[in-house]
Amino acid sequence: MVQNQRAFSFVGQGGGSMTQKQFLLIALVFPILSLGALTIYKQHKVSSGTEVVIPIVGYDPRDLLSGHYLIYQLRLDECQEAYLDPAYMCVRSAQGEAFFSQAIPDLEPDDQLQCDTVIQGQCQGKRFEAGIERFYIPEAHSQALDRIIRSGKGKLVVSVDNQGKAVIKDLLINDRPWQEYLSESD
Amino acid sequence: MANLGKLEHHLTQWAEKGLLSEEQRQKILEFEQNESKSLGGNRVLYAFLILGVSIIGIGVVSLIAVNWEAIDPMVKLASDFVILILLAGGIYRAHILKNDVLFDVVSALFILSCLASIGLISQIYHTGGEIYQALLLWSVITFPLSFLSHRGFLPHLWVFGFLLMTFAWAVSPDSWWYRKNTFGDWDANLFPFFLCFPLFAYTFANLCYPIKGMARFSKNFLFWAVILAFIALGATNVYYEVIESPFSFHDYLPVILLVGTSAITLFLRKDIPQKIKAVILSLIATSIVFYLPALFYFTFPEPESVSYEGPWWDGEILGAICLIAGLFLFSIIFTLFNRPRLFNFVTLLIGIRFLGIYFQVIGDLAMTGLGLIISGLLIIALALLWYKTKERLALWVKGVVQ
Repeated sequence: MVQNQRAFSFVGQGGGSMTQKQFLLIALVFPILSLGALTIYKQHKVSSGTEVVIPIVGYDPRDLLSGHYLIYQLRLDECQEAYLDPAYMCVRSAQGEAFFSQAIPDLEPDDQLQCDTVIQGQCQGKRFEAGIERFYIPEAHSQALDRIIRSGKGKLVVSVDNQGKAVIKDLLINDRPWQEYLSESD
Repeated sequence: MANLGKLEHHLTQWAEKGLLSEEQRQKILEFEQNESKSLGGNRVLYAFLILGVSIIGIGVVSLIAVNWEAIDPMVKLASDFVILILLAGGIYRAHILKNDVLFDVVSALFILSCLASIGLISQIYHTGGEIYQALLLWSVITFPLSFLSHRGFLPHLWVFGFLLMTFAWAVSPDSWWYRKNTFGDWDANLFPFFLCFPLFAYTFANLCYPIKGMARFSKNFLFWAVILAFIALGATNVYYEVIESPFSFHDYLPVILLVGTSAITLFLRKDIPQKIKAVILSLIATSIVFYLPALFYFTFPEPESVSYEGPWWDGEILGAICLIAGLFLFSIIFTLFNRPRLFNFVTLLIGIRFLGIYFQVIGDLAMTGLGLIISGLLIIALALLWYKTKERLALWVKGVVQ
C-alpha cells in the first residue's frame, strides 16, 4: 500500500487534487465506457447504412482470440491497379443483391455509372478487399460451412455507410440465414 | 528476506567474528522471522490466487472462442457488461477494505475480462483487423487500473500485453518490415525487429523510471529488455547461418532510431552514475557493429537469395562470434550491476557456445570413438576451468571497466 500511496503523490486528500478513490473510479469506469462505446458504434454501423448482398467464396482458419472464422473473397470486379489503398468499388444491386460491380477512382462516382452504393477498401494485387472478409462461426459448424462456402453457395449481407465503409450483417447460404440453413439440414 | 536459513548462517558467522553482538543477532533473526510469517504466507496465497485468476481469464477467452451460437448475441454482450461491472464493484470494495491481495486478484480478472470482451465484440460484429489492434485497445483501457496495482502482478501483466501487441504488429501486414521476400511471398522480415525489440523495451524502461508510480513498469520493461536481448543474440546466430534476405536500409532504420532513443533516455537518468552510463552506451553502440558484415555484404539492388560462403565470411562461425561477443558484453553489464548469478549464467552460455563451435568445426569426427573421448574430456576441463575461475573473471571484468 505504501508504494501505491507514493504513486499518488500527485493526488491529494481533497481540495483541488484528485483523491485515490476518484482516480480508482475513473480507472474502473474508463474501460467499461470504452467497450460500451465501441459496441454502440459497431451496432450503429450495422443498423444504419445501405444493405447489400454480395456473393463470396472462402476457407476457414482459426483466430486465437475470437475463435473460428471464415475468410473469403468478395465476388466483385477486379482492381484496375494492384496494391492500391484506398480503393473504391461501385456496386449496382437489384432487390438488394449486387449484380454488377466496377472499380472506380474515388468515392464520388460518375453519374453515368448509376452506382447504388460505393464500397471503400484496398486492392491486394487484383483482389478488392473491404475489411469484411472475415465471419466468425461456431467451431461445431466450421467444417460444414467451410465446404458450403467453397462450393460458392455463400453470400454476405453488409451495411455500407455514406463513406463507403462496410460492416457485416449476416451470412446467407442458398439465400437463407446460415443458422436457418444448418438447422434445416440437420 | 526470503531465505532464513542462509540469513541465520550469515548472522552466526558475523557474531563469531565480533561484527554483531549476540543480542543483535537474536533481534534481527526475530524480526525477519516475523516478517516472513506475515509476507511469506501472503506471497504464496497471492501467487496461487493470481495463477487461478489467470487460468480463469484464459478459460473465459476460450469459451468465447467456442462461439456459442445458441446464445443471442445481445444476451452475450449484456452478460459480459454485467460481469465487468460486478468485477469493478469488487475491486472498489477491495480498495475500501484495504485488502491488497483481493484488489490485485480481482483487478487481474477484470483486466483479462476486458480482453475477452474485445474478443466477444469482434466475434459478434465480425470485425476484421489484426490482433495487435485488439491488444492496443486493451493496453489503453487497462493502463489506469494497472497503474493502481497494490502489488507487482498487474504492471507485469500489462507490460507483457504491451510488448505482445508490439510483436503482433511486427508480424502483421501493417508492420514496417512487411515486404515481398526472395520467393515472391509477402511476409515480415523479422530479424531487424529482433534487434529493435530489446532497445524498444529498454527505452520504455528508462522513460518510466523517473515518473512517479511507474517504477514497477520500468522494472518489468527492463526485465523483458534483457530477455529479448538474449533472444536477439540467438536470432543473430541463426540469421548468419540461414540468410536469405538481402540487406535493406529501410529495415534497419528503426534499429538506428531506437539506439538513439535508448541512448537519450539513458543519458537523462539521474540515478545511474556517469561512468556506468558511458559503459552501457558503448555496449549498445558496439552491439550494432556485429551487423556491419551484413551492411557491407548486401548491396544488391534487386532482391535475390544469397548465403554466406567463403573462408572467413563463414555464416556459422560469424554467427557464433557475434553471439559470444554479445554474451561477453552482457557479462560486463551484470558485473557492473552486481548480479553474480547472471554473470555466471552468461559465462556458462559462452562456454557452451564455444563447445558448439568445436562440434561444428570438427563435425562428423566428433562422432568417432576418439572424437567422443576428446569431446568429453574437453567438456569436463572447460567446466572445471569455469568453476574455478568465474569469481576471478568477474573481478577482472570489474577492474577493466572501472
